[in-house]
Amino acid sequence: MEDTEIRGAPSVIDRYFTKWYKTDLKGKPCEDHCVLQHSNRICVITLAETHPLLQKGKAIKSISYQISSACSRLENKVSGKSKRGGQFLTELAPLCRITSTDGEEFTIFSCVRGRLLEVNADILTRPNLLLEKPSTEGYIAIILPKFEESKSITEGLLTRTEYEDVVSKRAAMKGLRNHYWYITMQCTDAWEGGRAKWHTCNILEPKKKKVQKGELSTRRQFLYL
Amino acid sequence: MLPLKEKDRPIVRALLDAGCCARCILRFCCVSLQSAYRQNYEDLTCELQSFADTRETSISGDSAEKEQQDVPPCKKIRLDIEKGGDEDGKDVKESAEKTESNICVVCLGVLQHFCDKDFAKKIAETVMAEKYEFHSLVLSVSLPAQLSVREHSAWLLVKKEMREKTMCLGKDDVIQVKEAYKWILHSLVSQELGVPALAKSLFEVSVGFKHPETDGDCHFLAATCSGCFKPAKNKQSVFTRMAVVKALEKITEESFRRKFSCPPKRPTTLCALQEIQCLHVPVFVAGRYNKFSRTLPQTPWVIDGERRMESSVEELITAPLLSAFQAEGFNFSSSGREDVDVRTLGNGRPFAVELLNPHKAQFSTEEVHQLQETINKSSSKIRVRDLQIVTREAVGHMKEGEEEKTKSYCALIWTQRPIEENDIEFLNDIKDLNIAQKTPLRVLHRRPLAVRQRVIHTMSAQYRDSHHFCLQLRTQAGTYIKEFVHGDFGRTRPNLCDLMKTETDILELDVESVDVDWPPVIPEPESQKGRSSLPEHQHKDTPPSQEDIQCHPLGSLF
Repeated sequence: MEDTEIRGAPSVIDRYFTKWYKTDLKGKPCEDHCVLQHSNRICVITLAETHPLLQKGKAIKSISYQISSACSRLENKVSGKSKRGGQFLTELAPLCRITSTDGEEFTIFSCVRGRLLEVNADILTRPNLLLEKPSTEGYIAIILPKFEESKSITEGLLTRTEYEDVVSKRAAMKGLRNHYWYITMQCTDAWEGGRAKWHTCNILEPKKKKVQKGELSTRRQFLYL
Repeated sequence: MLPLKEKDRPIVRALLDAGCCARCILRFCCVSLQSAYRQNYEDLTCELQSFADTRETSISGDSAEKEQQDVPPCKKIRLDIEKGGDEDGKDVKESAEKTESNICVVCLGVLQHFCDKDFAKKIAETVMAEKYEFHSLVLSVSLPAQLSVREHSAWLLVKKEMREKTMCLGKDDVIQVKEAYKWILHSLVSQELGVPALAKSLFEVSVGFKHPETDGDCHFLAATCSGCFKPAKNKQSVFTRMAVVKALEKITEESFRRKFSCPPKRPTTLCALQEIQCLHVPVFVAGRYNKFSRTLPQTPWVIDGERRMESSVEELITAPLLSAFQAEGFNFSSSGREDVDVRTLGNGRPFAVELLNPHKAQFSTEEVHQLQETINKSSSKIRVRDLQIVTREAVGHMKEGEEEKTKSYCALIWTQRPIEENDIEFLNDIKDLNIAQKTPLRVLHRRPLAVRQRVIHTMSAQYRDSHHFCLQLRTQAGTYIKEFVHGDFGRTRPNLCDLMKTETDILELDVESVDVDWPPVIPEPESQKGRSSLPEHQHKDTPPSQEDIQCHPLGSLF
C-alpha cells in the first residue's frame, strides 16, 4: 500500500496479478503461503509476509527442492507450448523444504493444482532473496493450472481482505495463542479428510470443549470463525 | 468423322452394351480430338452406334449404312428416370434396354446432361449474380468419388476386350472425365461470360456434382485397403477422391472383380448438381501503421467470450479494405506486435492483410492511396502509410526480418530509490549488453518456456525527476522491454533493477521504430503532400487535452 503511494502507480504485481492466500498450512501456525495469479491463469507461489521464516530475524540454513529420494523439483522440465513433461501437482504437493539456522524445518506447498513450470533456482545460491524480496525475486515456483480449472483452483484460498482479517484476528488472540493453535489443528485435520464432519471449540472456554457438528464446505468458512 | 480405328470397334461395342455414354466411349478409345466431344450428343451417339454395327470388313463411319432400327434410341436418348432398373424382367427386356439405362454407367450423366449450352448459361448466371470483377476464369470440376471406381470397372472391361485382341493400352492414355468435360464446357462458358476460360486464372468457378444413389460403390474398398481411408477432422467422409484413387492403385484386378460388378451396375438416377462456387485468389495489401493510443489493442481482445476494449488496429485498418475489395474475410499479420498500452510511433510497423475471396481485385495506385486516406480519416488512433498491393511471396520478407532486425523504444522509468541526474549517466555508456530472458510470465501460458539471449545495443537516459527518467533503447528485435525494466521476478538477467541497484518499473512504453525495410516506401503523390502531412503534424502538437495523441512520446505523465 505504501509502495503505491511512492510510485503513484500500481506495481507489477498489482497491475497483473491477483493475490490469494492459504494460512496455517498443514495446521502449522502462521505458515502462510501467497499465490499470485496472473490474469493469464499462471500462478507464482511465494511465502506470505506472515510466514515464520520472514519473522523475528530468521536466517536460512538450507533450501532443498529434493522432496523425496526419488523426486526433485529441480529436475522438472517442460517442453513446447503445451508444457509437456512438467510434474503435475495437487494442492498439498510439497515444493521445497527450507531449514532455518535455528534448526526449524518448513515445507512449502503448491497450494494450487497444476503443472509445475519452473522452480526458482536463484534462491539456492542467494537464499537472502527469499527473505528480502519474498513476493518477487524470492518466489518459490511457477505453476500453470489447467485451463478449465483456472477459476476453481482458487476457491479454497483466501482473498487479500480475508487474509488480512485472519492476520488481525491472530494478533487479537495473542493471549490465547496456545488454544488457538489447538483449534486450528483440529479443524485442519478434519478438513484433510475432505468434506468431513468437524468440531468447533469455544475459544473462550478452551478447557471445556463444546462440540458442534457441522459440515465444512470450504476452507474459508472455517477461517471466519 | 470420328477418329476411330478398326481396333476400337470391339471396345465401342463392349462399352455400348455395358451402358456407357458416347463421350465416355470416346474417352476409353483415347480420342484426344477435342471437337469430337463438342459434337451434339445425339449425333455422336448415332455415329458411334453405326460404327459399332458396321461389319468389320467395311470401313467405319459410313452413316448411310446405318440401319433404321438404330435411329429410335438416338432420339430417345434423354433418359426417363422413373423407368428401368428391372434387369431381370425377361418379358420386358426389349423395352427395358431402350429406356432404363440411358444414364451412363461411368460418368453417371455428367458428360451427357451437364455439358450443353443450357448448363453453361446456368453457370454464367450464377457467376454474374455474385458480381465479381474478373478478366478470365478457370473451371474446376468436382466429381463424386465413386466415379473413379466405375471408371476402373469400365477400364477392366476394356482391358479384357483388348486382351482377347492382343492389343495394349495404358490406363493413363484414357481421357479423364474432367478433361473431356472441360473441353466441352470451356468454350460454352467462355461464350456466355465473354472472358476466356483458361487452365490458370485468378478467378475460379468450381462445379460440384453428387450422386447419392451410388455413394456405396466405394465402401468395399475400405475392407481391402483400410490403410487408405483414415478419418480426418475436416472431411465429412473418409471416401475422398484421392483416397479412392490410391486404393484403386493398390487393389488387384481379381479382388476388384470379385467385389464390384464389371461393367458397373446401371444407375436409375442422374447425377445432381451440388454447387457452383466462385473463388477469387486472395489479394495481399501491405503498409505500415502507427498506433497513437494506449487503450487500443492490435487485434480484438476477447476474454471468456467477452470483448475487452472497443476496436483494434486490425479492425480499423481492415474495415475499409474489406468493403473496397468486397472480400469475404481477412488475415492480418505484422512484423511483431505491441501491447495494448504501447504506442507505435515513427515510421510505423509493417503489416500485411490477406483479403480472402475479393470480388474486386484491381486497384490503381491512386485508388490504393485513396483507400489509405479513407483509413486515416476513419480514426485518429492509428495512421497508415505506404499502403500497396503486394504478392503473397513478398509478405514473407516481413516475417524474415522479425528476429534479426533492431527496434527502438522509449520508456518512462520509475525508480524506488530517489535519483540524481548523475545516477543514470552510466546507462549511456553501456553498449551491446547481453541479457538472458526467460519467457515472460505474461506470455508463458501460450509460448514455450525458454531462455533467450538478447542484445541491448544502446541506451540513453534523460532525467525527469527524483523518481523518474526516460530511457531510450535500441535492441535486438524480440527483446521484451517491460521485463528488462522490472525484471519479471528476476527471470530476466541482468535487468534494469540490477543495473540501477534499486527497484525499477516501467510506466509507459513507445515503439519508436521497427527497422524492417519492407514494404517499400511509397512516395506521397505531389498533390497530396500538403494535405496528408497535416494530420501527422497534428499528432505531434495536439495539446494534452487529447490523451491519446501527444507531442512528447511520454508526455502524458508530465
